[in-house]
Amino acid sequence: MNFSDADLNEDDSSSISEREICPTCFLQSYTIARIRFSNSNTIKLDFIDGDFLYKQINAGRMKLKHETDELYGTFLITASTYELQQFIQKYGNDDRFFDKENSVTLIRKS
Amino acid sequence: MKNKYWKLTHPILRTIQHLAFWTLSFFVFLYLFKTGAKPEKIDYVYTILFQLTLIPAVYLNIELLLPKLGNRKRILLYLFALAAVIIFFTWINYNFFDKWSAKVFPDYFFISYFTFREIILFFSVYIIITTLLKLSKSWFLVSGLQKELLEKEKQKTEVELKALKAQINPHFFFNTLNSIYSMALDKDERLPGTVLQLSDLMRYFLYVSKDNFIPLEKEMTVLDNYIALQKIRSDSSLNFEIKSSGEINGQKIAPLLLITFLENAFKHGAKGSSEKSFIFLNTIIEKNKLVFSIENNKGYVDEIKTDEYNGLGLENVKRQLELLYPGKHLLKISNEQDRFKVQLQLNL
Repeated sequence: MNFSDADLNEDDSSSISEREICPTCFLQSYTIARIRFSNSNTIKLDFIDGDFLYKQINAGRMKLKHETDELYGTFLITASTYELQQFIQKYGNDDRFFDKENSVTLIRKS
Repeated sequence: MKNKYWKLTHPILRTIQHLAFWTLSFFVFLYLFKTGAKPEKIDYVYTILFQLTLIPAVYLNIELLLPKLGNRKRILLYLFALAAVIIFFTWINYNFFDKWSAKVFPDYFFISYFTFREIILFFSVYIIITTLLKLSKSWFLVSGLQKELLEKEKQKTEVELKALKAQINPHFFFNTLNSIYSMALDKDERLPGTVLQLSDLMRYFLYVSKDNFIPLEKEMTVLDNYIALQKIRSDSSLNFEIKSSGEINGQKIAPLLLITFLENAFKHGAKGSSEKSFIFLNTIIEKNKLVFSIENNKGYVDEIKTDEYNGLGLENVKRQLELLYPGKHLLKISNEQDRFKVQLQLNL
């Protein structure tokens, strides 16, 4: 699940040469995940559950700017950075937002 | 009688007006806040909740702060209280969407989409709009009531003027009929002519004098008729002098003002005097100004008769002058030992 930052800065992310070639081909985006420290050697990454978000938005229960690709049935969140930050601050601890089944566990090698 | 401005104050209509305003406001907000091409369920919920934090701030202002503190003396206190209300409800709004809504509506996901500063600005603009609406409505109400009050005052003045004129007529006829009665007793041959002239005067009183202002020349003609009428019954010793200067055409005057002074002069001067009687009448018209002066000797009847009707005509004229020529007249009445003088200056 990728989040697109609508407030793009000109001087970061993609290289100038890429932008010059095709200014509309590249869009800055974020992948958001929650980090959990299980112990001093293990961290878990819980990624945002895109299906949950998609269902909530389609059911009219979530207010977040987005664009829907009806051909492939996918969607892209297009809310501003401020709104995304507010959203994460508010719902960052809400387990319903995260896909625990596909969590990534990182264990430090001893 | 139903107030003309009841539509602005009737409680049911007032409620309907407020509901209409908030409904319109709701749809404006809805289209402003919607995230997609058309409003979703969440947009309706969000808009209702947003408006719910705005409504108390608006009503606190227009129903409490504005009536209690919205005057020049308390303007600083009002602004301070208003700022406090705006900040408090902005804080409620911000925290509700940022924190509390997750507990109140766990299945709806929204945040505060505006910064604290933006919400303050939003609330301030809304408070200003609703205050202006309230003030304009109050202004309409007050100016309407003022207009109504002025109309009532005008009606009251009209009624009073009519009553004053109605007082003059019987007063005048009472005096003239007394004279006719004397002539009838004396079997005076001039009686038919006198009655005819009286009927002319009655016509004037009945039809012409209903207007507040009439052409000056008409009033002067009536004076001439009245003089002719009185001369018939006056004894030959009466020294009557009349002077007139200036252009009377095109000028207007309130009816029955001058005749009252003339009548008074004849009543008190031309009869019952043991010495030679006189009446000096002078009328000067300069541009829009009339100077009317009349002077008569005082007869012995003025020393004897002190009934309650004496002076009624003059008091009546004074009141009419106050009503019809406020600040535009000067009346000087001089009651000397042997003569009575009246001078009236009128701005026509």
